[in-house]
Amino acid sequence: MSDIQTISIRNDLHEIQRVREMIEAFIFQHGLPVSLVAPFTLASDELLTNVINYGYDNEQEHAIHLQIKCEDFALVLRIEDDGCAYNPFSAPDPDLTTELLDRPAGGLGIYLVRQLMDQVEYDRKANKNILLLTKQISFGKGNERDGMH
Amino acid sequence: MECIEEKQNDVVILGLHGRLDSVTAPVVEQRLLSLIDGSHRQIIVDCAELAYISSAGLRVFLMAAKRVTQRKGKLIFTSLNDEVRQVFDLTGFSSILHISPSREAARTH
Repeated sequence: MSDIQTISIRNDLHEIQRVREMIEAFIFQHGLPVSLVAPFTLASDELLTNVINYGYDNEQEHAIHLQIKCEDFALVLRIEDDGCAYNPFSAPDPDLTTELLDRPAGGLGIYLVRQLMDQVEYDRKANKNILLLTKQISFGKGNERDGMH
Repeated sequence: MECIEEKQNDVVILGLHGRLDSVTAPVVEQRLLSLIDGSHRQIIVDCAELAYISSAGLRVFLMAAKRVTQRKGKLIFTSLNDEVRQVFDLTGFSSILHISPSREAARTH
């Protein structure tokens, strides 16, 4: 089964809600496990927030193109932006073992994305950053009640 | 996101209603900071109606916890739902922030 839904948004944090709505609609319409909503919603929120806040060196309006796809029992989200070349997955994990006062504030978003997804990929093609997030779909018993796994 | 404040003697309870993300984090940060910088030593952040949190929200909570510690106060997060709790767990925030199952339990913390 292969089915694709696309959306383009402006580089504005308030647009992220439209992506969430698309992800929810896609998952429900295709009868996929509800447990996929939370990880994809959070992962896309984190990555889009980073692109919108830090990805551009100007104040212009930019388009970000997303595509969600169900293929070979995996859900795949693709994010393409024309911002500065940057691979968010190249940053090291934050140190999550420190005490409160030493705990770093940065790197948490990308760290969450890595925890929530089975696979994360970055590519740079034709001056675009392309991010691919993949999560296997398991139609196991009790899957509907699961949290984010 | 709606922030609803309640004062009960020397404790202030800040109820968060809605989603805490990159759009709403600044507003919550402002409210929390003004509570902490005010005279309140005991603050309970009631997350019963907090539907969602992203790293933007975690950063606000982290900043608040550091500030409260410096002022020798107490900050407790209560009634986290499963999704929010999982984000806390994944990032290790469950071990550095004070979490309580309910407001009542928090008051006797």
